Formats: sequence, C-alpha cells, structure tokens
Amino acid sequence: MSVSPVSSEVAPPGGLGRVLFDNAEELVGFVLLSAIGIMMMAQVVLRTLFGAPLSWPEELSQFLFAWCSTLGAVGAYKRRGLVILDLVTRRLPGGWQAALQYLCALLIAAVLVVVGWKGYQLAARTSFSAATLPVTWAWAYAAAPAFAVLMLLRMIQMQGLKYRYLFVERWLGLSQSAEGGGATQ
Amino acid sequence: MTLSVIFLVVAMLVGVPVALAIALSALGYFLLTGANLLVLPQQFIGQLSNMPLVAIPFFILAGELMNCGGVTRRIFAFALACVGRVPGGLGHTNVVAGMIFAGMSGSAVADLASVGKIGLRAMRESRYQDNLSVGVIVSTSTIGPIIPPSINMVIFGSIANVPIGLLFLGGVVPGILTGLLLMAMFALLFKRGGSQAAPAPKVAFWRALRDGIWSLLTPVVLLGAMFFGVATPTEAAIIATVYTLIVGGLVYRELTWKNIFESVMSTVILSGAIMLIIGFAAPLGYVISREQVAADFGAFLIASFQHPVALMAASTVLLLIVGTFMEVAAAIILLTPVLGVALIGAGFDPVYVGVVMVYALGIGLVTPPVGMCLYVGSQISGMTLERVVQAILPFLLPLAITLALIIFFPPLITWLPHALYAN
Repeated sequence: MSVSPVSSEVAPPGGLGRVLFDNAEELVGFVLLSAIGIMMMAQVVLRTLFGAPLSWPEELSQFLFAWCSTLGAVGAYKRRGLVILDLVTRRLPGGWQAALQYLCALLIAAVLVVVGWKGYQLAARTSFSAATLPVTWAWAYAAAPAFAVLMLLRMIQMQGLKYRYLFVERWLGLSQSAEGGGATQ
Repeated sequence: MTLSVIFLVVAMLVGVPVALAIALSALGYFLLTGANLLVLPQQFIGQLSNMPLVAIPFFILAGELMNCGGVTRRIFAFALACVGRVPGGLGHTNVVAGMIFAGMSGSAVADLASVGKIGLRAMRESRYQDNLSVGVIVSTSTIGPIIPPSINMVIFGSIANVPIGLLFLGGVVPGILTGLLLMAMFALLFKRGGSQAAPAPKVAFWRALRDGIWSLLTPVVLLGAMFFGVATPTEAAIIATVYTLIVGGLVYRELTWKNIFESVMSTVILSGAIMLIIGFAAPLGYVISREQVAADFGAFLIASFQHPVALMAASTVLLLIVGTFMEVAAAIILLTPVLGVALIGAGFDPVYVGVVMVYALGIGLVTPPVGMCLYVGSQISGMTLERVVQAILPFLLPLAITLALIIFFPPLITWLPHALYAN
C-alpha cells in the first residue's frame, strides 16, 4: 500500500479551460459534497430549531453522495491516490514491472467494462421511484456506468497517451496536500 | 469462494488498486456461479448511497479544516500546558493532544498528519531521540479510530446494524486506556535513553485554556450533538464541520477561502478513494452472505472453541493477522459479515465485538507489511520505513496490553454505553 509521493514535477502550463477539463470530475464532486453539507445542515436547523424538517434532503443526499464518491474516486485515480499494494511490484526489476502494469490495466479495464455495461442496464431497467424525490433510483444507479466510462477515458488518457494533468490545487498555487493520496484511515 | 479469495490476493499483489481488486474478485465469483451480474453495480451504488457513510467525508473535512484553521495547534498548546513540564513532556503532550484530536477526527492518518506532525517538529527542536519521537507519534495515531468519532466504527455499525452512537461510546475507555499506557511506555523509554532532551518550553495553563477553549469545545459539540439525540452521526459530522468553519474562519480568522477550497477538494478525493473500496466491498459482502460463510464459519468457531474467552482470543489472532496485510476499511467490510456476525450470533455483545474488531484491525495500521500509518510516519519524518518500524516496536506492547485488557474485561467497553443508555 502506498501513500503517493508528492510529485515534484513542474506544473504544465495551461489556462482555465484546461483546468476545468483536467479536474472536471472532482470539481463536480466538490459542488455535490458542498451541496450535501449545506442541505443537511439546513435540515438540522429546521428540525431542531423550528421543528419543521423537510422530507427530501436525506434522500437527495444519498443520491448526490453516490455521485460524489465515484467522481472523487476518479480524481483520486488521476492523482495516483487510489490505495495500492506495491509491496511486491516495487521490488521487481523494471521489465517485470512494465509487464505487470499492462496486466493490471487489462484487469482494471475488464472490471470497469462490466460495471459500466451492467450499470447501464440496471439504470435503464430501474423504475423504482425515490420516496421523496420526483425521480427514480435510475439517477443514482447511473453513477456506476458514468464512473466506469470516466475511469476508462482517464486511464487511456493517463497511461495510453501519457497525458499530464494540471491539477486545480497546483494551478491555484495551493500547497500540495490534496495530492497525498490514500490517507483514508 | 476460495477461488475468489485467491483472485483477490493475486490481483492486489500485481498492483491492481485494492478497490478494483475487490470488485474483480466479486466479478470472478459471479461469472463462475452464473449469478446475475446486475447485482454488482446494484450493490456498489446501494452501498455508496448508504446514509451513515455520508459521515465519512465530513469527519475527514472537519479534520482538514481544524489543521488550516489553527484548531490543531491550539489543542497541542493546551496539551503542552497540561503535561509539558514532566520529564519527556513533549512525548506526553503528543499523546494527550492526540487523544483530544481523536475526539474530533475519525481517522488515524488524520491524527498523524496533524498532531503527529506538530509533535515531531517540537520534539526534534528539543533534541529528543528520533526513534522515540517517531515511535510515539505513530503509535498515538492508532487512538484516532478508537476514541469517537471513528470512520471504522461507522463502517462496522452500518454493516452489522449496531447503533453507531453505542459503538462510539464503547471506544471511549479503551481509547483513554491506550493513551495512558502509551504515556507509561514513553516515560520508561525516555528515562532509559532520552534524558539529554531539552525541557519543554513553559506554557501558562490558563492562557492556553483561554486561547484554546473554542478548539477544545469541538469534541464536546460533536459528541454532545450525537449523544443527546439532537443529531445522527452523519449530521454530527456536518455540525462539527460547520463549527470548525466558524471557529477557524470567524473566531480565529486563520481560515482563508483558499484553505476551505483546498480542504473540500482534498476531502472529495480522499473520501472518493476510500468510498471506492467500501462500495466495491458490498458485492463481495453479498457473495459472502450468499455462500452462508458466516453461518458455517460461526458454527465452526463455536464447535472449535467452547469457551467464549478462547473463541474471542482466537478471533482476535485472526483479526491481527488480517490487519497486518489488509487495509483496515476493507478488512472491516469483509470480516464483519463473516466474523462479526458469527461472534454476535455466539452471544457476544455487538458493541464489544465492534470495538474489539476495530481495535485489533487498527493495530494493523502500525505493523508491517501493510500499515498505512507507517507509510505516513516515514513520509513526515523522512525516515526509511524500516527505521519507522524499529521505532514503533516497543510501542506495540501498550497496544497489545490494552487489546488483551478489553478482551478479558468486556465492561471496559460495554459499561459506558450501557450506563448512559440505560437512563
């Protein structure tokens, strides 16, 4: 398992458009997490101070959280922040490492294809309505195929095309703590 | 089933991210048994839209904001004023500050990256032996997921259907006990080899208290909201976040818009990484329950260990072994439906089972080969992993003693939640 090292690479040049494109998933995740926080806080205030809670914030938070988590995971992947066991691979010679990287990419792609395809089918078939929202659960399940497609695209971009991302935290000149991945425990 | 476990281990070893390795192993099982593959995304999203788990990002966010907003620093200063003057004071300060911080953060890494970092810098300035300093900061971080709130307990409670508030209360005494024993070990080691260290700077108690009062109230606000029934754990996490925003931004005026943006951004990413593991563990958990592993395993356990203490001890050995090579959140998700449910079925108090599981697996955070806190410790200290492991070794003893104590004296865990909830 590794905590990814803070990369010392110089940030590639680019403007706002590139930042929005490179960080699209996590920026949407940012908006969703903020929305959950604001909604739930409002709910606590309405319930405890006014005794008049709304019916929908919990369920809407659940929907948004599914999206926020999967989008955040794509952001973590781009920053090499997904938890990885590199105990064995780290000690192998370079040729082996490269071969294993291809194997890994294949295995990951395989699971993503299934999640994407089956997730799409699931969302397309779901007609189960949300209790307090005027939508069906398909809107939550759609996060699964969206995650799979975005991950696959970012994988091709990062590993196939060797694309280097311009991360928003670096673009804004903030400290790089947002990149220390895997700090989950 | 055995095949999916082999698949899981192999996939992780060749370098597939843990979350996707878990998904692969569930997928392998579905394909082999011809099960409906729709279950995979359905369980995945079902888990990610689980309300109690929404607490996780907000516990992370509150911790990030406390670091930027000056809350962590004031807590350290307060702890220094309390215990800084005894010999080896900075080590004790670090443990006390870690315990208070654990009352606001749900994770060991958060503890280590905040209080631990400050503590290490202070100890280096005062010429403490590096071994001693790194050992104490890394071992203290294990208190993070024991003293409430705790991300790991949220995960256990949401799977085993145990009230999270009760689990949180169950962690209080074991957490404090751990802190005291770690301080005892530090005192012992300091006496033997660290006494050339400079004494800690003198800090006036009342000034530190006055300066840090708003910070020190954070755990009170967080836990109070939960235990007095005002809020669910998820809401309490959000209340703590808002409270930290107010204290850091309006009272101390140290929190900037940039800090806030950065904290939320890094929370989205960190919680995305952990939620991916938790999400994909759901289909695998489904496989485990479908195979009736828990029932079989429970029957096997009860048949092999007639005495409850022997049963618990054997389970703990298993937890310790799994904890050394598996990421804690993933281990809890995979073991709760098997071991946790079996132990509860054998008649153990669910709160007791939960706290023991979280504690035993938590020790895995500081043991090689896979110990997240060792990596973070090496990152913030600049020491090699091997040296961090050496430094932590003596501090494993207090952790092991606490674990043995809570196993053999269950009231250490269960007394507080039952006393408070009986009324």
